[in-house]
Amino acid sequence: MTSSRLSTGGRIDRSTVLKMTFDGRSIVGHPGDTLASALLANDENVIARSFKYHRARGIYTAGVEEPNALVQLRYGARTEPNTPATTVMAYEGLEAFGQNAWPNVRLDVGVVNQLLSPFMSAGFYYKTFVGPFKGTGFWMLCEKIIRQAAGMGRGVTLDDPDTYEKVNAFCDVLVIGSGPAGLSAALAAGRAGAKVILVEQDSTLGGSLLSAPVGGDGDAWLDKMKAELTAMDNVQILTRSTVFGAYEQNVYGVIERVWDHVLAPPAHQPRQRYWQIRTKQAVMATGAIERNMVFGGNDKPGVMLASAARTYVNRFAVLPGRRVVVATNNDSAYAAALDLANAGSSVTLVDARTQVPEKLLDSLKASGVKVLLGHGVLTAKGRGGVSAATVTTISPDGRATGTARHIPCDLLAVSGGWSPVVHLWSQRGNKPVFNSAKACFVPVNSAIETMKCAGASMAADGSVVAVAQGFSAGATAAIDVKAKNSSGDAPIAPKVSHGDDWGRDLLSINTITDDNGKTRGKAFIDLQHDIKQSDIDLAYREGYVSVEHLKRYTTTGMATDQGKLSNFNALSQMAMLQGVPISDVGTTVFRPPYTPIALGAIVGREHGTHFRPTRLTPLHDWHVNNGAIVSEAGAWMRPQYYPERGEGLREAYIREASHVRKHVGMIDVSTLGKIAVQGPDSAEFLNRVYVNGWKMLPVGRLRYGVMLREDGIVMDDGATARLGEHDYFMSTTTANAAKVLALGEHLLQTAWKDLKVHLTTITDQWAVIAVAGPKSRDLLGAVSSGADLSRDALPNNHFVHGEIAGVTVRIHRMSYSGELAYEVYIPSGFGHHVWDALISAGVPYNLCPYGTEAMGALRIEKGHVAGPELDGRTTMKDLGLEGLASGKKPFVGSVLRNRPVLIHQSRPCLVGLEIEGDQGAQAGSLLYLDTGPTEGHGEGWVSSATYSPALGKNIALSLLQNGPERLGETIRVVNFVGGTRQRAKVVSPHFFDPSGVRQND
Amino acid sequence: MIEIRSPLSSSVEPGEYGAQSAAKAALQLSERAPGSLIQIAGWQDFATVTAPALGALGFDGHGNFRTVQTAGPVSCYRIAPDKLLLRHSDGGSFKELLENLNPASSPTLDLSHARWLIEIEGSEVEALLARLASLDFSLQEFPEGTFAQTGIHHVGVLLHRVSADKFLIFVPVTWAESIWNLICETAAPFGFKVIVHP
Repeated sequence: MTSSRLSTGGRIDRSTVLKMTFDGRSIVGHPGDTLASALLANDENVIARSFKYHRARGIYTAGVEEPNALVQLRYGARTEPNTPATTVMAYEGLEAFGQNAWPNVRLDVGVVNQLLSPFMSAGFYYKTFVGPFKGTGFWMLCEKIIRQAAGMGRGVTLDDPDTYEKVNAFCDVLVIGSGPAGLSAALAAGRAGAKVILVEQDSTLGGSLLSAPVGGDGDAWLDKMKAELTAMDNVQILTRSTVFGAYEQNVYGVIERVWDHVLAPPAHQPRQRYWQIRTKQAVMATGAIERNMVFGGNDKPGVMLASAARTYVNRFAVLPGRRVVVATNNDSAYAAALDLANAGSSVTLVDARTQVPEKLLDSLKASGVKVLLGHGVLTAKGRGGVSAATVTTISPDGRATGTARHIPCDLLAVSGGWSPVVHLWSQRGNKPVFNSAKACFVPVNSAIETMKCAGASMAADGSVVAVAQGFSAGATAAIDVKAKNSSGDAPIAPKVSHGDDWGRDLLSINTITDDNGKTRGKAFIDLQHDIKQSDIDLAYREGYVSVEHLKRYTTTGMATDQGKLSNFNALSQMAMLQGVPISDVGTTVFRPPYTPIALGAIVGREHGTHFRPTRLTPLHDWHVNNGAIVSEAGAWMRPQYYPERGEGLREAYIREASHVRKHVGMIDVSTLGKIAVQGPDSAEFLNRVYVNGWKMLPVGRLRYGVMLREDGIVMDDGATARLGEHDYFMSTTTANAAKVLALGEHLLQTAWKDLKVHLTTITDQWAVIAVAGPKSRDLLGAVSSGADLSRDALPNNHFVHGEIAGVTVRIHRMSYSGELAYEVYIPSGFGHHVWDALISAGVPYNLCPYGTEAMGALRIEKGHVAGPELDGRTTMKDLGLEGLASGKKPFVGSVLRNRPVLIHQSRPCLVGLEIEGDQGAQAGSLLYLDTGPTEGHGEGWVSSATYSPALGKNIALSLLQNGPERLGETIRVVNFVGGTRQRAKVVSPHFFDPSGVRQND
Repeated sequence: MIEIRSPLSSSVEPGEYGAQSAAKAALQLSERAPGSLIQIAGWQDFATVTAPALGALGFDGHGNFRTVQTAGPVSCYRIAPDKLLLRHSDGGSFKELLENLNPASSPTLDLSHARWLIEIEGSEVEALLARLASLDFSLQEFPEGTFAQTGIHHVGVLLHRVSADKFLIFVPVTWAESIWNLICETAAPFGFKVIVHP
């Protein structure tokens, strides 16, 4: 047993000893401990160093509100910075480290920062780095240094070895919190037959009851409640789970720490689980958080919330101090004083109030507690920890009125009142109201129809009222969701210790000062961000009186604890400075998350290969099995090239493209978007979405078309075939398939509801193989049957049905490469079969597969536009396609395409470039006059570039101002990213076979 | 007859994976071709013009958007107010249906190769699906014979509960492998067995 561990009591399993380390030193604990309780049990008092001043800090609380004791948990890829030791369950092998200190938290050289504290007041950054010089240059310089120095723990960039998962859940009533109010609410709703989810952030149910002495009435009550709840099939209980966010439509975000309480999760099990709970009703029974008091040295190790001290004694059987001063302004600290005394501590209770019920006083005196009424603590004395409290009589506003005296102590337990946990209620867009009697902000229970608040979160008058409120909230919620049964009678509240009604006769002072109104020494408002009371005072003097401005100027309440302790004291100080009630100062609102959450849990399984879904063509396996290098093309994986004998990309695509020009090649173009356009008004629909006419297209023919956006910019292009009287087969570019379908659906459901047309994506239904090259007809003719592919029978822009290897296919005669070419449409499940048949049949014709890189080279040689040219900025005129537009009919974009800015003569237009030298151009390079200055954005840009095997030179497609009028001109191609400058000759974009002899063969 | 190739042919390996319970895997995953799938669409008079053809198949009207109608090997899913998806699980032909429908008023579309079928069965099927889609899969809210169109991994799918512990998932073939792999990863904490149909 360690020195501060009590020999009896506690809700820990003493039969098991857990070995852990902190900063390399061994500590021991038991199941049921937190890291914080184990550290206290092992007399580890300095756990952390503060953010700015590197002041020694100990354990301040016993919950999620902990501002001080943040540790670096675990190591390597599992390390986690800024973890409150109060929320970490003890486990065998746990390793934790102090942070923000060198060489360690006990002896930290960073403590010299305290000497700079006069210069690090509120607005430090603005005054020091932004103000002194004109412009932002100085700040930008300093920012890098500040960012290096800032922060507490250290994150790592190693891959997280653990998994996380997301799960959706649905219920009638979500109960948040399992204290007396929450348990009562769950009981009422559960008995009524509602589907209930009860969520508790702690490892076990009970809430505040767990801080009471073991064996009391609360334990029996808790056991009875747990037994009844766990017996209900309609009640699901989640422990170690925090409701971190409340959202519209009654959606709640919950993080369950499934396996955080072990060294590493079991195989295949997620470390954490992110629940998205959709409920009909919610009961918020989130309790309240005790506030600290503001006085000199209130941050020293050994200063702790009174409720936390009580929790450590009763729940964890740890005596946090042997000589204790309890400072309070309300009744709740009396229970802490009593339990500390009963555990063996010498206790002096200092109450700011002058009148306290005799019953409270009698119970303390019976246990040997000295009580000083009308007193307050001016300072906590001691180096490295508390050694004494300076106590004096005070006025009702917290000013010293008498002579200060020192009371030796090693624990200063403080209670400055309580703050209901209103975060989730506030996240729904509500501002809490001030309850002046209890000096706290509370929710308005009627503000959200589907959320009811109960218990300490409503500042209930003690546990009896909390149980009643909780039960009523649960029963009402059950009625609201039309649960069938009765909730029965409310449970009788457990008998708890004196002072559970913290709001009774609370004296609303939080700051103890000398008679001049000033604190002695550094008195902290926000412990985690090192915001002193003097910082609030300075902000006020400089005019930052709005709570929103105060928060941002001082950064109070902006750390990982989100001001759970500090917010009220900051507001209280601002109210005092302004001479107005706190209610007039108001409060900020809260947003998710209530407590920090791991990004891994939000990501779930959507990372790595599942960052987004991947789309594979029906032929993907063939490509991979035959050595293709595949690359991402949007969501698709496409074969980029098929290297032979150690070829790189350049050698391979040049070989493949050359081969197509000489022999025959084939490429998987299944990624093309494919949309079935069906219905009697299909031709009219096509006439409206394409710029060219479609009403005269006969069955058996196909036509190239261009679509515009409403604003006249080119959106997409593709070919559409007429399969039947009312049946069209539209193809789109790979990239724009979804966009085209969405636009069509949108128009049919809004502007064109009169058209009888249905659109259906059939991209998945069809595998498509493009066969290109002078021998393509011969190959297809040999391998297919039932289709006349002769020039006369199947000229360009016609299609025919046939059969290849027993599969009925549709063969379109069209060319993207500029060669004699066909597209073979195959039911996707047979795509692999047909591809294999083509490969086999292609041997005599020297068939080779080619990838997207060669495809790109071929289309650039031919001057065909693609994604890089259809970049959302170009018009038909820019691309030389204006001749396609019909003047006889309106179409999408037909009006706005004629805006002056879109028809201006100086617009960059499509041209070809022949690059001088051996090096190709880079897409994105800018174009400048050959002899002019290299300034601004230039006169155009390179959109696509390649080496042309057919021409034996590097070429590019570009958009150049007045381009068609500048053929023959030499310009400069400047790549600012790569740092290259080249010269190029402006030529026609139709580099290869401009008259189309080959493709029309 | 040429066999339709599974889009999962390189991903599916029979065996047991993930966490294994002492008795048997809590989940069984398998895949198969969906058979014949055909979409029928229409407009304002959709119900009237398709009634005779559907009646010939054994269906009484279009049904609703949650309940699967079945007639022998044929299932009917009302996937939109004016669209039906018919499945012939044996891969049988809809030739007679097509002959009874007028393409001008009731266009049809063969989607047999556009979808693949993933089957999930086992005691943890609801828990698994709760990790994949944001629907309430409890038997009370999603009883046997119910279907829903939803998203898994941002991909549109159709889910059909065929029994208390078995669901069919119709997935677009080009997304099938990505979805299958995600399902397997998600199922790992429960333990699962991959079954290959003969």
